[in-house]
Amino acid sequence: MWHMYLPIAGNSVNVLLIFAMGGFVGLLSGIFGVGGGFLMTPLLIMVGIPPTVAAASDSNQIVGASTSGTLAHYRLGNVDFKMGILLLIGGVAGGTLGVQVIKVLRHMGNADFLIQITYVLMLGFVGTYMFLESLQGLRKTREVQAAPKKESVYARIVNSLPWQIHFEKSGVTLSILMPLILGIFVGILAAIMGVGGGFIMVPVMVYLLRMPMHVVVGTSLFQILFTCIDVTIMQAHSNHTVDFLLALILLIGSTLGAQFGATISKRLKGDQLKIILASLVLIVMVKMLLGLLLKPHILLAVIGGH
Amino acid sequence: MSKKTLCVMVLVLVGMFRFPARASDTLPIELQVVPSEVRMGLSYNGVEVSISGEIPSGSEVLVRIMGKPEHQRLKKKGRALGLLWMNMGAVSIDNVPNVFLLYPSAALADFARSQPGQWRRLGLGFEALKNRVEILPSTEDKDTLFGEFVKLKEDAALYGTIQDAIHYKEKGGGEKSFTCVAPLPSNLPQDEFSIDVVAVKDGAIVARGTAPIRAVETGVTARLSSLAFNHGILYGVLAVLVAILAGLLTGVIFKGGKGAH
Repeated sequence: MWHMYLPIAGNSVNVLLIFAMGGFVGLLSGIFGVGGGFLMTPLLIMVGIPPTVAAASDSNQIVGASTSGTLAHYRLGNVDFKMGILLLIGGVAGGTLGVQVIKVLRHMGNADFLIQITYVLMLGFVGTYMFLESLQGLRKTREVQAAPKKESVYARIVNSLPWQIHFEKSGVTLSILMPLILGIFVGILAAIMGVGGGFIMVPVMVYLLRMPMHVVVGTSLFQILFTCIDVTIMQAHSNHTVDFLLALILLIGSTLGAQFGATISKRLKGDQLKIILASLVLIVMVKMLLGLLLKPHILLAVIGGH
Repeated sequence: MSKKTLCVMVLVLVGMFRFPARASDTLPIELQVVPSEVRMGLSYNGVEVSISGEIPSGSEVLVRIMGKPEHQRLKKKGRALGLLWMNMGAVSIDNVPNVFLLYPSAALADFARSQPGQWRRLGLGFEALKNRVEILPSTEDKDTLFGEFVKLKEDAALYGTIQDAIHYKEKGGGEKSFTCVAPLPSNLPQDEFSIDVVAVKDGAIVARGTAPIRAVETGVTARLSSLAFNHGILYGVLAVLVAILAGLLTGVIFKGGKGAH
């Protein structure tokens, strides 16, 4: 009764289940400023959506969720448009470069190995660092950083860069090169790993751009919105893998979820937000690691899958 | 020679090609298939197809629904550095149908289990399919890879053996009627399939019949598919615009509900 046939996915799905999945991931998106692709794509594959359609349709729904989330965060004063646009420019350039890198890796025949290892290492590093740092913050141990020398070197480099400007919303003064370079870096990684890059972008903004956590969430959503518009149109044009009906059900759930998420986000402290996101990232990392260590049930996979 | 006789002869010849074992002395089975076309609209969630006909008394029936032979390229999982399971190259499987569903009667399923040698000689099941497919590179272990391929397709519900789908009714005059209520999966590809029916008696095929069935998208699903595949950019832009509008609309509704922030 609650089933709907999806023509591009070529399968029928339970509408309520897809709606609930959209709501859950949208909630996380609104709270943490991540697109949620790293969670949604595996969930969709589990309910019988082909991997390539799952990833592309998820990008489509993230457009809706991040529009809703950006709007909610904009009203709360949490979007730094200047920083977001610079990161976006870098991200697009990095994404284009990353696509070329992946082409070379595929030609060399070891792309899958590198992608999966990069994924696990990035998730592990980001999750652990964020977890420990926010745990420290929650304990209110206002110790000096463990590696002050490195920190000061980093600060010296950042301060010595040309074209310094003040980002009012974020309350930081930085060279415009910083968001551009970091945007390129995240764009390359996102293209290699086939994800939106929110879970890398958020720590980059927090730790390397020194932005306050609440502004990070809103700005990240703003940037993800444009990245996903680009991905959706490219996927629809080149691979015909965007299932609009699937995306529509997901986004009804996720836009509602994102609104609740933004409200919850405002009520949580920055360190609380960081530690929950870090835990989520670590859970996904452990799941991926187990997937690599345990013998799969089937030793063949459809091309385009994970 | 009448047109009808010619048609029957062609059908029998097609059947002989499909079921090579003991092709002589078989009777034709006339099949009724309802629905004769699977229409995949928005509410499609798999369908039960009723296949019926008459077979000689004392024989047991097998219904097989099979897609056209095609080429499949798949990723092969292997161990990297002796530790990590990941995609390690690709394999090609040629001459495999996209759908291969068997609906044997309970007695015939027992026969296949208890007399595997005789069952294999009939050339009806997965073993016969394995002999037809070609796996490349040829250095690969065919038995293992074909087994994994079947598991992959079974997971997607496109291959499999479905029990308890056949029901009989004695008719007298040396014949009995059968009905197979064949469930087809919700992820059935849009394609034409062949329904092949054989009657087996004393370990030999005594009658056979074949009929086509087509799965087609209709209504909104067909229009969306056409837009997605023929006007990709327009489809992508529309998908993005609707998503943005939905996001903005939710934002406006929430603002209205809560008052000013």
